[in-house]
Amino acid sequence: MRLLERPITAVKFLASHLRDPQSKTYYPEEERKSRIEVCLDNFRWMFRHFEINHFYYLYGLDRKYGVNQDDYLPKRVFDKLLTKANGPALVGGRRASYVYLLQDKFVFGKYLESLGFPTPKIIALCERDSIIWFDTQRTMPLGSMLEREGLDVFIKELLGMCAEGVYPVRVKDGKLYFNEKQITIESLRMVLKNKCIVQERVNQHSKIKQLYPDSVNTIRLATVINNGEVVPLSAVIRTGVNGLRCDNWTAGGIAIGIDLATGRLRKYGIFKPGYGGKLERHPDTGLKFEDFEIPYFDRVVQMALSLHRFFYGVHSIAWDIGITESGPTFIEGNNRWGMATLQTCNREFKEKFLSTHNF
Amino acid sequence: MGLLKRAVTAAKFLYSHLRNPSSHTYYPHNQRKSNIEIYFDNLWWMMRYCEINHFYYLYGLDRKDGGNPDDYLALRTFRRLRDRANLVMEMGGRKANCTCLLRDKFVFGKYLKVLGFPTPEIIALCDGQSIMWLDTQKTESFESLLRRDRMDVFIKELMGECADGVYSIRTEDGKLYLNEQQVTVEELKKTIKDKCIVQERIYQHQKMSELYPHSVNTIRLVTAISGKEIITLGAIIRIGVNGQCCDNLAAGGVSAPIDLETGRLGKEGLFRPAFGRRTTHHPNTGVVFYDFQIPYFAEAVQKATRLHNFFYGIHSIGWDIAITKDGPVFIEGNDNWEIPTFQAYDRHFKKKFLAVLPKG
Repeated sequence: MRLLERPITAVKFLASHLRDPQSKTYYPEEERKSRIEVCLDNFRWMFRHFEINHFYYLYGLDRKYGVNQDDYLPKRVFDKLLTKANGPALVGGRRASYVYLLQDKFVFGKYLESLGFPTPKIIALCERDSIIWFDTQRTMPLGSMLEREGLDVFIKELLGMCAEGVYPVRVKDGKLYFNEKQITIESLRMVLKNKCIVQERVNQHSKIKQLYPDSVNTIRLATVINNGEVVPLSAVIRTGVNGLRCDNWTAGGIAIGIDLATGRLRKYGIFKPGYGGKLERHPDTGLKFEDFEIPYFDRVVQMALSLHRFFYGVHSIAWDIGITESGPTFIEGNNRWGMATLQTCNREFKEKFLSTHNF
Repeated sequence: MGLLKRAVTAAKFLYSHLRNPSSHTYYPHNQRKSNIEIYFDNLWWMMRYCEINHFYYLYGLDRKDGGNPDDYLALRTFRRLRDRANLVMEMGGRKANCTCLLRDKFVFGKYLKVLGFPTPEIIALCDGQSIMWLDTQKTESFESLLRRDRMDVFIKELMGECADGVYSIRTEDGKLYLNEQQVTVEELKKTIKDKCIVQERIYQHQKMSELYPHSVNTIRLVTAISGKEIITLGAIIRIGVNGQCCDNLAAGGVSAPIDLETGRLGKEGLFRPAFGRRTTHHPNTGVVFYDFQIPYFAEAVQKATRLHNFFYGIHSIGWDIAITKDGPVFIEGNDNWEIPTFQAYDRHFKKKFLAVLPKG
């Protein structure tokens, strides 16, 4: 049944892929391949890599000149290499899995704090019924949040991923607001299914706000251990769009490549396929991406490299880094990360990534 | 082949076990079972649990009026149950293995420090080539050790277990001492093979030194998650003997039970089967165990139960706690703690452990 299902999905995908190439392309201004060529390209990718290339148009492979499929790493191969390299590591003669240090947001935050790296402050650990406040070291009922006037935090599930289980919460005039809507403690309790951290909100740098003010626009920087040395792989910045309060690319945000050497943005920002194409300016703020310089970017790279040295059991990490007035702040580190934006914005991604896999 | 090998090992063990039961027994003054009964007891244990019961005499199962084998958890069964509960945390449909928090000494030390629990200060990370000083955040050559005069530390392998890969290091007048013997930096480099932490030495409470002064005598306290609460399952103390500088039982140390309510030691201490039997006092210092009061014990228990709250993904933990003049200090936490010594002291330990195991 599964055997039959996969070819059907592939055929359906090809049909949808070819129905209106004009609307799917990221490069309408360039000369592009015919439908037959696009079809053959995708067939070739499928047979070679046993996967549908969902990023065919994103990589600009429909262009007639200047691109080569072989310059891009298939998702399946990437995922396989990533899983193997970030699996249990040999440290001190014993095998151990270190990815938990990244997966658990409480442990991650505390580990960084102990090492002296900037990260949003965790002020409490909570569950449905109770909350441990770290300033008083006391366990209180969840309702004690209301006694903290001016509280402006994110509640995040410990093992949440991709902005899942993240709840912005505020206390004003003794009332509780969730995503700017007033709610009761009871309704918050219904939302909290698992153990969560209560983390202070990041106030981003005024220059980063110019990009788009309604979301915290974070840098995604991938670093990797290559023969014992930590090196940067590729970086993008993500911004929200159209009132979106998160910068998540998979939720419709924009990703813009960053030149690792200068910290300047590249010419184009890109949407995820299905949300839009490429663009030179932010659609809401009108800010031109090219040559926009990220403040503190050299510190971002230096800190990420230094920090990765303390995660010696994880081969590659994609860091989510916010920029505040006082410098970078590490929001998350991801052991399972997607390469689509990082590969699209950096042509050397495949070569650099593969060169760090010496097994 | 494996099956044949196991059968031969079992036969050899049974033979050595039965050759001279009176030399193995922990209870020479009690009425004991006959050779045949001991033989059948062990055969029965083997068939039931597919393991050799190395702790048959330690549990006192050779006594006629002694315990019932059913009161004791077979080591294989215990390890399976312990690992099932400790190795996987499930939360919100996601699974994670949290044990690196305990097993990696650097991560453990840093995590405790930031949570505000007392633990020996880690001052550097090193491998055979270089040393990263955490105070200056600089990576330097091994020679930089000598520039830090009057350093008195332990170098410990990150993932070392059972006092494996622990080296005592001292610098004085520009000279380097490894386990109290003068060495060169090159010799030290050859000894350090893997990634290690450099950790400050702790000095135990004077009263703990009275028990035995040459080793840091640590408490092994087991806590477990029971519903939404953290409870203590049991506690023992490990003490070095005969000039040994570690308190490890597997290396010949002696243990004694601790009353969880009062912090007093029990009447008799036990050696592991290969090193001795029962004793009412320390063989070197002569300190009588019974009524010896561990200083700061209530604080150690209270801190361990509070600390376990931050290791929510690990069901049961065996904490190694030293007592200093300022109070308890957490040296290690072990997700792979062992049950035999606890069972030997407490016949109800099996019941207590099984009662708190998560269902399913």
